[in-house]
Amino acid sequence: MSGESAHQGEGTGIQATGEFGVFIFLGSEALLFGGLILTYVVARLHHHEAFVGGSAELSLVTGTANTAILLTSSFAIALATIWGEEGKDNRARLALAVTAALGLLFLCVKAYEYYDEAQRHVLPVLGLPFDYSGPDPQHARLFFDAYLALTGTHGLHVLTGIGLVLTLTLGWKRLGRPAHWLKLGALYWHFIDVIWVFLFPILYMVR
Amino acid sequence: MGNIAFHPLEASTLAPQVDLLFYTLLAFSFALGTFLVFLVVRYSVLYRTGSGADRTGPRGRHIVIEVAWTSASALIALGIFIWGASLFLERDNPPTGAIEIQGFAKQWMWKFEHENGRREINELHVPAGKPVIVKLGSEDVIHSLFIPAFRVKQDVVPGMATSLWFEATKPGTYDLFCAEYCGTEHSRMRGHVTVMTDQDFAAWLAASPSSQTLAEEGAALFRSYGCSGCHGPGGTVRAPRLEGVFGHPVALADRRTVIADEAYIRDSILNPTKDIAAGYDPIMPSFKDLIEEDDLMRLVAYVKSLGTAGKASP
Amino acid sequence: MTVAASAGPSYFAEGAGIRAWLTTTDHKRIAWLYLVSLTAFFFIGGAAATLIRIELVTPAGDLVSDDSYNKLFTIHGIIMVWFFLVPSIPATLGNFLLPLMLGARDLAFPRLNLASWYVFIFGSFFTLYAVIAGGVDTGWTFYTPLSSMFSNSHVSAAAAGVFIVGFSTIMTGINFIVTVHKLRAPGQTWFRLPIFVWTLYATSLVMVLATPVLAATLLLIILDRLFGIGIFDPSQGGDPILFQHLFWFYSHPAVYIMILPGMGVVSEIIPCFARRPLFGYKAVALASMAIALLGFLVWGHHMFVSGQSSFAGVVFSFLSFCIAVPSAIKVFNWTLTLRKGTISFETPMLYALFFLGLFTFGGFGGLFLAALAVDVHLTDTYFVVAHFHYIMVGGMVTAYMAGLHFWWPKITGRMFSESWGRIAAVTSFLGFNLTFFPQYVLGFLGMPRRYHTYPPEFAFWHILSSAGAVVLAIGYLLPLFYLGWSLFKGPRAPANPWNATGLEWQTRSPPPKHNFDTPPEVIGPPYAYGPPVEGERGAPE
Repeated sequence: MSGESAHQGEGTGIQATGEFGVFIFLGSEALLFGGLILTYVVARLHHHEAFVGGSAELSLVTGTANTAILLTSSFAIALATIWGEEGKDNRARLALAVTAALGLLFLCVKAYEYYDEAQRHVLPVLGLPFDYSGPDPQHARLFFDAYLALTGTHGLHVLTGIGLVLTLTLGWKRLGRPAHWLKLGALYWHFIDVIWVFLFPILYMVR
Repeated sequence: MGNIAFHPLEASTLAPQVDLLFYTLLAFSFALGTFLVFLVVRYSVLYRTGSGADRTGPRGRHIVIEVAWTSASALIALGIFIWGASLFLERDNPPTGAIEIQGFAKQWMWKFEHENGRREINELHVPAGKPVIVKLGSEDVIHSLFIPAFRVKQDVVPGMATSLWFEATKPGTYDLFCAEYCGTEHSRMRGHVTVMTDQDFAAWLAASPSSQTLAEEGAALFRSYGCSGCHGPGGTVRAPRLEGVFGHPVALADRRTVIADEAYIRDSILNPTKDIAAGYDPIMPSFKDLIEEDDLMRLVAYVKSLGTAGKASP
Repeated sequence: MTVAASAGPSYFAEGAGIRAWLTTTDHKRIAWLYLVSLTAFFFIGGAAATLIRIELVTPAGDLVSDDSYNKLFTIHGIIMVWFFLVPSIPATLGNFLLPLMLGARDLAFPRLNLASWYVFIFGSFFTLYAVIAGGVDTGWTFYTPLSSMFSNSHVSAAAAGVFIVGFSTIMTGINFIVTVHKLRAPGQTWFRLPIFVWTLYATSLVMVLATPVLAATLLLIILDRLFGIGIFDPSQGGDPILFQHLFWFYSHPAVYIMILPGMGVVSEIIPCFARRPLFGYKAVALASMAIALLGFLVWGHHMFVSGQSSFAGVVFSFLSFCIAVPSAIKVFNWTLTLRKGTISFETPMLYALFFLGLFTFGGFGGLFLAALAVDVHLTDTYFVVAHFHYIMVGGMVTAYMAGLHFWWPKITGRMFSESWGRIAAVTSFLGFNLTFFPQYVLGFLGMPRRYHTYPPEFAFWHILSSAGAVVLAIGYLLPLFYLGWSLFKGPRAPANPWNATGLEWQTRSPPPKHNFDTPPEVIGPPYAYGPPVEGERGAPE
């Protein structure tokens, strides 16, 4: 149905219209993360020492692992997109399943990370105790607040992405043009990946 | 009907300067507005359907007209901007030798403390002809100190030191408002500024010199009102000791538990039978109508100083 | 151009029953879904305003309690801003007319369009829950730390409602942007688009880019309240003013979301009833884009006394004066459009002319507020309240009424009673001025805003204002009756009752489901009214 009305005027076809729409949506998402990231950057400029100390409490190993997982998942969905365009439906669905699995793995690792931070009393949420021993604990707390807000929002987006990917995988046969929807979904997935590529260094690698 | 205000009083050195800009803007708006209304009405009448007006020919050279009114608007805007900005920047430059007053905002009252320790609640006495800086702090949410007759306003932000200065010119009493919405009694968080001549102000200030903190004064009142008779160490009547009470949970006789915050202390003094502490008889007399508001504040400050180990959760 | 009188059923007739309407993807029916919801919200917000104005007749707070009053003005703001003004023209008139003005069959993403309405309704449940469960009392601006730490009202629910409704806005924005880019009729270049399309496009850009920042801001408040992260808590190193920056970074562009479509409507109506092309078409189109862009740069003018640096204040004041210029350009262009015209004063034109006056008067107030030293005195007083009501109500709601009346024949296929229309327009104009002009005076006198009780010297002006509110309410209630009546008993409307240009008038009233029996082409500039004059036919070619 969204295709029929796109056939007039200077429209260059269904594909282009859908992609254009997704790009604009991603633009708005960029503003969402941009706003949060800008808040973080301003706070970091004001309290550099506290943020260095806070960042040291995060596990660089775990963060790197998660980055690798997410990048691999982007590769998987890129493969799925190519296979989808070539008509290799089964391979595409397999690659999608792998993408979803990797996304789920990312979230599990993140959850473990939160658990570990809560154990070490550096997760100021839900009234949990906060015992930070480094310099300037008052402002270091701000670092962890921002860390929670940023990774939490990102995590919600990963969860949404997994939902999208699973819907594509399982509902492939019922979709009118599955390869087209896969392409749009892949755009979203790549975007979440790109956001993580920004978050990882600014959170884990403050020196 | 005799109490209608048409324009605000001017009672500071700043007020006439702000008003000059204000009235200039008013005149400009009135002139331009009248001109536009005139044009619209003229065109509406002249060119209404059925009128025999001449409608031939172009309506003016577009690009010339566009450039003309754009530049005119830009120039006027620039002029007003510069004027407003330069007057505004004087806020950052209080004159030397200014009197300093501490101003504390909390839900829902203003507390002012003069250099010699004299305190006021919701009232502010200042001298005419001398610059005054009010250093502001908030104990809870964002408030804003606003004195319309002086044309000054400054938000009071928790965790941040802000200030406001003025030089009053005319003795009199003027409104003082909280201008940033701060909760239930925001509209009652108001009072008066009383501007006095220099001599009157000096006399007023000297009338009650005070170099003690609120809590120290409260300690004295604790004795003079007889509280220590029951609540102090040598008390003959069994009454709860007050050390370590403030900020901590109190078990009540009706099985509830409350946190002993400022409201609780106040209630205990004015309405002691309301929340009886568990294990005690309800025999404390009420001090309602016997204690003035500012004395009450000092007593509460004293009890607070006896047992602060963290405030009650919000 | 004549259109065949009856060549098939209209969009009303195709598919009857509630289910057909609730599962439609026809942009015209979705516009109706929005119209009904928004009208309901307008009157809920209006009811709150009525109670406020009744309370303020006397200086004492004797009608409702302090807390109730605070909840009233909060819910008035939240509902009017997010549940009426932001969606108003785009989701009703925009939804209905954008495809028609482009000669298209529908928007680019019809299902996304329906989804946006459902998201809107879903979000409203949260906010309505907050109201029914006891209200919110933080003001529509949710300033911290009052909202994040001290308020005992249903802040998170209300914020969640607004958060969700923001998605509806973004979906509409995406739909419009893609539609304007991809679905224009053959021959319809950018500078042949009606100004209404230009303003919807500019509005959509702002919707898509600004609303996410509101989402981030509300998210942070909810995280603070529900999970205690303390990002705005000074005792934990947080910064209350950070909230204001984040909030106004969205909310200032939001006011341009609210006014730009109204400017577009007026740009369609004045040329039609003056029978002349819009003066300076290109300037008006580009000014709309300039306003959208500059709107992102001025947020700090809400914070001159907040404790932000004076330097920042100076920069924001300068940019705020810059944005006055394109608005002024538009006002001059609308005025000059009348020159050498053949002017008639039907209801839409009356509303459009009233818009011109009220918007300008509100704009002057903006100049006062942009001037730093004067703003120190006027901010947080009724002067600000007067300013934004002149723009939002005197401007936007008047434009909404103008558009509703102008396109009513197209949308419903019926004509409304012209006499009642004029009565309503004049009543609302007079009532509006009586309500809000005294508020400019009150502000200058120093009456703070959001005050439940006030010193007696302000009473005179409040009495005038409340009297005006009664008249204004009548002016807004009247259309409910005569427009509603016209739906059933109004005379049938021809395809083009106002003899207007624009593709939407080249199809039947009301249009068929697929909009055009024969898809139109565009061969010349818009606003081809009146005798051709050398060098002046709409846009330069």
